[in-house]
Amino acid sequence: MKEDNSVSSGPAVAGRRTDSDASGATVVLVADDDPAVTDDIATVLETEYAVRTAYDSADAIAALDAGVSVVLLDPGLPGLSARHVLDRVTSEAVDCQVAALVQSAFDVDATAYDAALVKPVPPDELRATVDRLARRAAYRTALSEYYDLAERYAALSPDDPERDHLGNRLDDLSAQLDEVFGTLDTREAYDTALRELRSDS
Amino acid sequence: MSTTPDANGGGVDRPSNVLLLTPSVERDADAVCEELLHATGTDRTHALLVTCLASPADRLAAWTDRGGDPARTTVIDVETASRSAAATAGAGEHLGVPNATVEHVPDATDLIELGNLLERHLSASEGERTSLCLYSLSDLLQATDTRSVFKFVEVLTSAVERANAVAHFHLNPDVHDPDTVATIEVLFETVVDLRDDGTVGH
Repeated sequence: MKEDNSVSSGPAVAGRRTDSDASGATVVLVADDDPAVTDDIATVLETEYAVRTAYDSADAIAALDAGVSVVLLDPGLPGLSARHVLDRVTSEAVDCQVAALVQSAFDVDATAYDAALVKPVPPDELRATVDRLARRAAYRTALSEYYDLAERYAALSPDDPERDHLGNRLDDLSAQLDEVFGTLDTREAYDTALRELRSDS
Repeated sequence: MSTTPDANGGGVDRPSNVLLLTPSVERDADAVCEELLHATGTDRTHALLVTCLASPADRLAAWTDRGGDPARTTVIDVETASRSAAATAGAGEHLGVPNATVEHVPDATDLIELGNLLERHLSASEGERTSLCLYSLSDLLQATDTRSVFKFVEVLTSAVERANAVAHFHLNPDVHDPDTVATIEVLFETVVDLRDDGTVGH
């Protein structure tokens, strides 16, 4: 794996979802079998994002951790199948948004990907898509954490000293969710929140 | 409960989203449901009723019998695996209520489709105020799982606020463990618990 040198993108703290690097930038992984395509995309994105790059599926999988928010994935990546990489991308530990990098809009499995980008990708479209996927990732991550905390909060007895603390964190997350929801279309919010229920139709 | 709207219909005192805890033996549930449905502050109400186990005709009857008279009614019929054949058979029949239509969601586990269908109605209410009754979260919890229903309700309650609509959600606390009920309660600023005296609490 080639790590972009201009931006620090160290691994996320174990056991904690951050979806950003140490500097707070959203982390994007670009994985295309053509190094020139990969590096061109990385160049466009690295002014705003912490970008990681990979040219084969083993490197792509090695670059995936909870800190990654968005993956731009060439389904024809050499090595393990794209399905294998996708399974890892959508696993609970990683759970990021993924766009397919394709030669044509045909043959994109709309159930498996959150977006599709046809190469060569115009820079404006590239930035707009990554921005949208980053907001989706933020919504999904906050919603997942909101549920986990709500479940913990619900299990506490009324006089548990942790209750106030958890209650405050729930209020913060609720406000954060409202803010991100404001930037999403409602249908997109359902699709993002419930991606694991997406049907194959 | 106050239902006073302000001039532009937004920012009413009545909360946008209410969780209604209605135990199975509660006889007053329909009355509270009907009162909440009409708490829109306007007579141009689009009643949007979601039903799962109960047939659309039964759900409509539960409150039209009490004088419910919205400008328009849409029933969204969510088909659950455990519904009786008799309830489904009645779904396509004429409901006997003017301006009432029925739409179907063929799979109760498809919360994305249910959400999108609700959004189509919530976002298309010209000159009307939509009042949503979801009956019930218990049925959805039994068809799917707590995490999915929790996330669905978080999005739906946000969508209700965005559409300047009002909504109430039925949950039967007797059929879930207390932690599940308490988890869902986190999503609501207003919970009406008909197990006690119907007081509004958090």
